[in-house]
Amino acid sequence: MNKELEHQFVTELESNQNIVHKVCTLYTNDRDSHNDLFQEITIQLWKAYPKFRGDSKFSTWMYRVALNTAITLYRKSKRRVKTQDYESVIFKIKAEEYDPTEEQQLKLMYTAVKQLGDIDKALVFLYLEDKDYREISETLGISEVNARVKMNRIKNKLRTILNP
Amino acid sequence: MMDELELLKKDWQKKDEHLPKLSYNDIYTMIWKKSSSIVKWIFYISIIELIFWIVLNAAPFLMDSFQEKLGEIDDTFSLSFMVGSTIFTFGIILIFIYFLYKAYRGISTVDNAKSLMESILKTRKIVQYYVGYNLIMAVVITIYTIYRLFTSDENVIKLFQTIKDEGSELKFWLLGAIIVALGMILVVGFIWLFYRLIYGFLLRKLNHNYKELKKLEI
Repeated sequence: MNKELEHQFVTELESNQNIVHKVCTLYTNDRDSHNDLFQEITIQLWKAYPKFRGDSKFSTWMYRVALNTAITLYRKSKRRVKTQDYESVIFKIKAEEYDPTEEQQLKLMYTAVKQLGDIDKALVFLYLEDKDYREISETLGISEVNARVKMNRIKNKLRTILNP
Repeated sequence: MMDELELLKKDWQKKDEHLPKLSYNDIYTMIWKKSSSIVKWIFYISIIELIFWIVLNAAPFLMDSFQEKLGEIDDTFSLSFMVGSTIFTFGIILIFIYFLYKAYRGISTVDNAKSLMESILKTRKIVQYYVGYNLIMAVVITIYTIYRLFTSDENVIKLFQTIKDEGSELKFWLLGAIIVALGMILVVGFIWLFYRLIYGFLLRKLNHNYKELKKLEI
């Protein structure tokens, strides 16, 4: 029974691991911290798994636990953002796919997003993952209106960074 | 005007292929690793605290001199007071253990971020109340002991009489009060500082993010 649960969990996480990697990329600045956070999220997911009833999708449930771990449970404080020293996949932009101005813009945007606070990052993350405001507000425990207002503020913040 | 975030979103969703890939076995070994979450740390610290104060409360019963004194008590009032206060002390400990246990059970990673933070803060509050209770009791007991010493211990009464005869009564009281007060402030202050440091360090991030979330509600 237990073996079966383990197998089920690891298989599900293996196929959905991108969600966790993306959270780690946003919240950490080097490879070691990335792996460390990934491990902590995995432990928290596994601990919560027996209570996962399947009334929501595995991935939806993962967003919550992963973000909660990154924002609240994870103990190590983040180092100051120094994007250059982390050869993060997020920043590897293939030159041939983009025109230079767009590439430049994206680079600036990713840097700007990395500099946001933990809560703002969570909002942006869920937004980038194409979650609607209802899900964003439910994940963070704020009202939908407030989620919208906050998101607009973040958008403006990013806009000023891009167009000084 | 083109929404910059839409541009970012398009790019973000193409990132999947560049993300690290962990194997089944990598993940399998991870689920057996030890968590280092703050909940775990708070849990360990509160266990240590409970044990510390339980030992401190129980210590007199293990000392020979205290047991001898217990044997000497012959009036029923003192005896029932002793029994009563002991039951009270350990009753309080049990109540705190119960509340602490309940608070821990209430911490759920599946909750939304705000509820999760609130349940962690609530758990810490319970430990804080427990420590506060113990500190207040310690101060009360110290004052009571000193009072008893002055009114019932023959040696002290004798010493007190000589001081009275010498005429330096006021000086004695003043000095005594200052020393006792300083001692208590020092002990309480030390414990308080210790707490500020431990929990301040552990919960800095949580408090910061909780404030961020609360700010959104205004």
